[in-house]
Amino acid sequence: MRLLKHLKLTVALALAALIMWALWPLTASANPETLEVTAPSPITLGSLYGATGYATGTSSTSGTVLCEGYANGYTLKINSNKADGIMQEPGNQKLANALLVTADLVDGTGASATQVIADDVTVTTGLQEVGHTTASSSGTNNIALSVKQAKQITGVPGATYSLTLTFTASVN
Amino acid sequence: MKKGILVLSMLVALVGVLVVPMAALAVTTTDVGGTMPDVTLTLAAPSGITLGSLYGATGDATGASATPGTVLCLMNPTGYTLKINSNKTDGKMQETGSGTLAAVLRVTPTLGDGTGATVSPGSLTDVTVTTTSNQTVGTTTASSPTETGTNAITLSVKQAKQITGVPTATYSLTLTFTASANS
Repeated sequence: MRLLKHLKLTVALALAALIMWALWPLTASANPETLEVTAPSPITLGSLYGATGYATGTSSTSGTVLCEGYANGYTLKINSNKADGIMQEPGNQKLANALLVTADLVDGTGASATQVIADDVTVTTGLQEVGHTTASSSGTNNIALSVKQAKQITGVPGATYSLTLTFTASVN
Repeated sequence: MKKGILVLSMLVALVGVLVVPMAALAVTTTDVGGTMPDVTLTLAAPSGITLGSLYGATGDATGASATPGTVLCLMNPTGYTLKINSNKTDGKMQETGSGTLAAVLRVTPTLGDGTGATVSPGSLTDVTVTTTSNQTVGTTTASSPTETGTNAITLSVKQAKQITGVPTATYSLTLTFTASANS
């Protein structure tokens, strides 16, 4: 009796797994689910403490989010590899300056985007929402990125500074 | 046999469950970078002054720079200080080839606002510039990156005492300006 019970359970699980395994590619084939994100091009600030004002920069090429097959759209988030968005001089932990980052999720051929980070936000190591979509349509939205220096420099002349921004897209 | 099927089926089911959320996340990065510029501090002296006559018929000799000097200060948020001194003790001009004191000059340098930072003038109004005083002409207190650029140095000189030297002898004095970035 117990052997029969075990056998039924095993068969049921195997069948469920086989059905899931069999249906997944069929479903993907009929309605491909794709979520891809590409980063905006890197920004090189000409001078972190310019003669005519704070340094500013904009990505020459926008990033993109391609979302297909997810009816509830997606959410785009951003964070940095430095706490408080503060750039640090390599080999020297002296703080250089804080950057204000403006990242916009822009409507494209994809779903209409709801922007969250509208202007002048200091990006930190914590995930912040750039924007999200709620539409059922599919396609590509753009990520516009601009950066400006927010504070005066206290670092060493001639030293270089860098910051890495990470964009994460996840389906809703 | 049945255990093997059980384990295999559970593994397949687990993979099937995990594949969906893994595919629903996409990550990418971009870099932002820059270079810390060097502090630039460039100084040009006012053009030379030739006094027509150290003891003119109508009064004390006077002169002014036709072209003002300039101070260019970039990238230093705390501004700079401009100082002046001379190569003669007590600002007295001496006759060439002679130790005879000729005249005391009153020098009035001014550091003026330009495209650079707002200037806090020193207290140099008709003072005797000496080798020891290294007197402050003016200071700037730039508080933002926009307050950098060029300030002008104007200079005027006038004779302060009558000449006691030799007629037709020549006299000269060199004034030194020093600009230093504030810390």
